[in-house]
Amino acid sequence: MNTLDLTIGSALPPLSTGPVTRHRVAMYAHGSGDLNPIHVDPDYARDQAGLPDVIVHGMYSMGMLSRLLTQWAGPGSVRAIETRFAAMLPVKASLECSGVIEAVQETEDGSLVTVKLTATQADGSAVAAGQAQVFVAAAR
Amino acid sequence: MRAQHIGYAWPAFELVIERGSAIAFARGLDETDPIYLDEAAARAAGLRGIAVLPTFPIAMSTERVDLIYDMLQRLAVDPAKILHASQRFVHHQPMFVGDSLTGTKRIANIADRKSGALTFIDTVIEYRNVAGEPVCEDHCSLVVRNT
Repeated sequence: MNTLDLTIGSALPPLSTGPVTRHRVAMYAHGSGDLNPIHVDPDYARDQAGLPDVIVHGMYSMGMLSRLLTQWAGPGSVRAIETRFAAMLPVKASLECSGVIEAVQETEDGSLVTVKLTATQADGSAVAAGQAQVFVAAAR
Repeated sequence: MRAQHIGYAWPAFELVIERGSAIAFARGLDETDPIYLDEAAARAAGLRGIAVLPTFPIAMSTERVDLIYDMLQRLAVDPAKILHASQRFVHHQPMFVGDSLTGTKRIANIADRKSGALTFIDTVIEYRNVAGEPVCEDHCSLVVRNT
């Protein structure tokens, strides 16, 4: 049931988080087990890390980029994903996740699709970038 | 010399992908697809258990945060000086809630950059299932600000 557009250069349906509130940061801290105070304690972020406020986990951005892929190609489709963290995402900022098809390799039972991944703030400033290999099963 | 620690491997550890952990992780990423949240929905979709998101192995590594602190101690690195530079996961086969895995973690590389102002520490965790087959890999790169 391969109805996905695998044209090189085409964009995947984007994913926008809307403002990543303190509550959502706390939800991710709980879910990931990463309770580093730089993400959950504004006093620590200001006094110890010299930041204006807490920052969103880098792995939240990578997680959202992975969800862009699973929403597109389904669970278990992501064979590899890598992300470089370019800049901190301040709490309450929004994250815009996008993916573009860079390459398609046909296999016996489907297609292995290389997707270029980008996560930015709403103003376009870079947060994270990377790529993924996504398996898309052949139509049947 | 930190380079002498390249290749260091910790003893293998066992873990089970727990329902509560997987669901809390999915909720932390605003996931609403019930195959990541509900056993009956996952089975109705033909899966053998609740599915886990592609970056869930980060929660598996956080479960063994003691290994991270052990490494920083061995390398004499101040935890306040590290940032997450990059992360890669490789999935050889899908994982589900209830799966038992064996993890082995090693230091893959340590390299100074920018005339020693930064040190990159690369670690790899390989997870295998009870049949000994590779399931996934966690490649983490941390950067230490030495100044």
